[in-house]
Amino acid sequence: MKKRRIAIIAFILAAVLTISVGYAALTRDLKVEGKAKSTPDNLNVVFSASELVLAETTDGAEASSAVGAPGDFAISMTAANLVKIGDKVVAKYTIKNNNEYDVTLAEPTISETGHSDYFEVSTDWGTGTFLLEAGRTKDVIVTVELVDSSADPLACDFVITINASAGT
Amino acid sequence: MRRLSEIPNDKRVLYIISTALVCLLLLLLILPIGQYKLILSLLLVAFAVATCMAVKKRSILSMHKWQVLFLIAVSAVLYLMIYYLTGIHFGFVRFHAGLSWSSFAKNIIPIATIIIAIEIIRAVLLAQQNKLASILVFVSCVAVDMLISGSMGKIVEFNGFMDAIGMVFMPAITSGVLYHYLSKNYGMYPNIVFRLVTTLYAYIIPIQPAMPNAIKAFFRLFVPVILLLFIKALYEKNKSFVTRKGRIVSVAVSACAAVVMISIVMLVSCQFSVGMIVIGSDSMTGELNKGDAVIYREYEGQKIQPGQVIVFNKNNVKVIHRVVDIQTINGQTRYYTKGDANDNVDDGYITHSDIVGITSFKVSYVGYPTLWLRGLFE
Repeated sequence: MKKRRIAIIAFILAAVLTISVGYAALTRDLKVEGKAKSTPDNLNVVFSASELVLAETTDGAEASSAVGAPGDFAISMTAANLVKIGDKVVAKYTIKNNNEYDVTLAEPTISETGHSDYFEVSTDWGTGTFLLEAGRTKDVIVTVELVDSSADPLACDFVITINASAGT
Repeated sequence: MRRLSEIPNDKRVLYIISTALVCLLLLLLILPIGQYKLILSLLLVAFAVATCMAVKKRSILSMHKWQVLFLIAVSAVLYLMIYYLTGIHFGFVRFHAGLSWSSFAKNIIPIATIIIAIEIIRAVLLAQQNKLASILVFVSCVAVDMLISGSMGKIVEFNGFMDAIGMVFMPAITSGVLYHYLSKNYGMYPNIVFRLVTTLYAYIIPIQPAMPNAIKAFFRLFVPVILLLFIKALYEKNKSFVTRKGRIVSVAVSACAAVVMISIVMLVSCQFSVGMIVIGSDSMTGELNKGDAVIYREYEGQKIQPGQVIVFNKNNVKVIHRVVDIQTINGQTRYYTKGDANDNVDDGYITHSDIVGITSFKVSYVGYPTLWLRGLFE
C-alpha cells in the first residue's frame, strides 16, 4: 500500500515536471525566413509600327530594321547611302504594351559595331525610365547621322535596346 | 514462469481477454482506424459481452454504494461548474456548432457506448482480484482515453505531442487510479456516471472556457487525485496515522505541496500576476542566456524606464529585450527595444498593448529541459 502511494506521488511529480517543461513559454528571435522567387514572364511588348520619317531623312538614304523578341526587344538598324556629313536617316518606331499591366521601359542603350566614329545614333527618349501603361503605345524616334566623311564606303550596325519590366 | 496449460482455466481466460484487449487497443492507437469512435465502440461492446460471458464471479456488478454514486455524480457536476466558472477570467470559445443529430450519431452515442463497455470490462476483470489482469485493464483504459480524445494524429508536432501527453495521457493515468479504486470498492456505476458527465459535456455544450492548455493539463491531472483523496478520507476506515503530531505533519506537508503546485501552475501558465518564460534565443546573451528562466511581473501600466528589460509580444512571438528609447508621438507612447547582443535596434516599436511584463529575476539553466524537448521537434 505504501509502495503504491509512493509510486503515485512519484508519477504526479513527474507529470507536473513534464507539463511544466512542455508548456513553459519560450522567447524567440524576431526573424523573417523565407525565399523569394520570381518567375520570368514573357512580356508582350512589341513594335506595333515602324516608318521612316521622310521629312527629316536625307533623300536617297535607306534604313532597315529587325525586330527582336518581345520583352527584351532590340532594334537593329542599318542605315545606308549616307553620302555627306549631315545626311541622316530618321525612323519612328511605335512600341505597344499588349499586357494587362503597366510596364516600365528603361532608357535605351545603344551599342554600335563597325565604323561607329563616322555615325551618330540617337533617340528622342531623353533620360530615365518611362511607364508604359497597359494597352498604350509610345513612339521612339531614332536618328542616324553621318558625322564624318570618308573616301571609302563605310557601314555601321547599331543595336538600340530598350528593356521592359513588369510593374512600376 | 508457468506455462499457459498449467494456469487454472478461469485465470487463463482472464489473461487471454485482458491481454487481447490491451493488444487490440495499442494497435488501434497506431493505426488510423483507431480514430473512428464507432468502430472502437463496437469492438469494446464485443469485448464487454465476451468478458461477461467468459469470466465468472460477476457479482461485483451488483455491488454499489448509493452514497458514493451520489457523491461522484455531484462531483462531476461541480467539476463542470468550476471549469465553466473559469471562463469568467479566461473568456469562452465556440467549440462546435451545437448539438445535432449528426454529432449525436458520430460522437455522443459511440463515446457513451465506449465508456459503458470499458467500465463493464474494468469492473468484471478487477473483481477477479488478479494483479496482472488489473495492470492490463489499467493500460487498456488509458489507451481508450487516448483513442477517445483523438490526440494521436497530431503527435508529430510539438503542440500536438504536449496536448497528447499533458492533457490526455497523464490525466488518463491519474483518472485511471481513481476509476480503479472506485470500481474495486463501489462497482462500475460511479465511474460510468462521472465519465459520461465529464466527457460528453464537450459534445453537448457548444462553448468552452478559453483556459490555456497548461492550466487545463494541471486541472485534469489533479481533479481525480483530489477526488480520490476526498473519498478515501470519507469512507476508508483505516487511518494511516493516529497521533496528533502525525496529523499536523501530514497537513503541513499537504499545504506546502499545494502551495508549490499552485505556484508552478501560475508561473507556467503566464496567466496571473507573475509568469515564467524560458530564454530561447541568444539576443540577450550576457544578461539573459539561452536556457535561463526569467520570472516577470505582469504589466499593469507601470512606468517603464529606458534600460529596463521587458517581455512583449511581437509578430505573435514572445520577446524579452531591453528598452533603449521611449518617445511620445501623437499622444502614443512608443518603446524602442533592442537585444543586448544584437547589433541593431529592433525594427519598429511597441506600445502599451504589446507589453506583457517586466522582468524581475532569472533562474539560470532551469529552462534547458524545455529547450531540449522543443528541439526534438524542430
